[in-house]
Amino acid sequence: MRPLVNPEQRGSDLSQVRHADRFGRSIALEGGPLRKCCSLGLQREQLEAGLCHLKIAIGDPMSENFPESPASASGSPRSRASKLLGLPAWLTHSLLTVLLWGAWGAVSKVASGKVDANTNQIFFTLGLLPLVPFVLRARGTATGSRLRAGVAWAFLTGILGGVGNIAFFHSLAIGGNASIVVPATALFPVVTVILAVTVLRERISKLQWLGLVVAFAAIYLLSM
Amino acid sequence: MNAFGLPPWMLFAVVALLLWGASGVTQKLSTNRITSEQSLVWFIVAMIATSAVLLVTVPIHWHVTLTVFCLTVIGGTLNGGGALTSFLALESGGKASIVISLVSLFPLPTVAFATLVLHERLTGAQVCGIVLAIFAAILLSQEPKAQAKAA
Repeated sequence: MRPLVNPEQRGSDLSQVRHADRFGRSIALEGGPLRKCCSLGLQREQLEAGLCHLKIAIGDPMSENFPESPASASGSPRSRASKLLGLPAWLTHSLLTVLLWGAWGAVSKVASGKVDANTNQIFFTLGLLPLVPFVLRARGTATGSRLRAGVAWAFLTGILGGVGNIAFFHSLAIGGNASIVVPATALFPVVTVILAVTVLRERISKLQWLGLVVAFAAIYLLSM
Repeated sequence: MNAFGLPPWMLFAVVALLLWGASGVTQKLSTNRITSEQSLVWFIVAMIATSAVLLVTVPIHWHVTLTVFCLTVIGGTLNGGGALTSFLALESGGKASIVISLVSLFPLPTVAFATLVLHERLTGAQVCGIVLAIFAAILLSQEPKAQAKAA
């Protein structure tokens, strides 16, 4: 299980920051409700003084002049100010992600020779529990059918991820090298992209098409 | 080898790839409606449900050493922690195209550990495959501009 980051959603409320109007133009909303102001990096003083406002920009999203949402735009005042371990916070978090997921692959291989895949999955789940307090702090704004659908899809993600984990652990346990199995399974976005095109009717970029071709070549070479 | 002409371990790796790939779509459908954190909570609930089904349907071998138990539990924490830090990377101002490309490099520490510490041997073709796999993962993370911006 390596949850895909949804690039369309960059924060708790940011998925609601940009909307398409009925003419297909994008509308960027800044400010608005208190929580949204917080997520957009407005100053506490502005909030307390009631200066939280709503600003709407309409334009072509492909245009270079189209406003980036302040919290998501790299180089915004918020991101410039945010440093962690001497690096921009987003870079530190990205590198930490690489280390954590990379270490997971190594740890899984070391353990896989001495525990079966099903037992491994149960212990793996125990390891997720300490994270619950961290994620419970975030509160969403979705309600009703939107909330129910979101929860149902998330639950299905967990089932697919859990069964995928068992296959991954079993692959390592029956002799797959971590140096092969981890890069091979890291190609799972191939399936995501194919499903996104065929089921969700999404467009994909030329680079993603090239990625699909390269991925199949990689799988062939890794299985040799 | 099996009917698909793949080594058995590769067949299971492909099954993992297919299921994780499908979960990428369901996760996207989820996080289009609720926050990443809420999605992760229900993801963990589903993981617990999966474990509960395993407990009652398949034999579980509890007699593992403390070291192995700790490694498997830590594995879960590392994996879930990685998901959290990836959310934080985007929330703290990282551009999606850069952050996702960067985190696609996560097999590199595993390959380094496996070859240097576990002394796994790789053929020339497999080394090429690893390089191509990482390159492919980076390419696959490049969403069309309009889709990424208009979201």
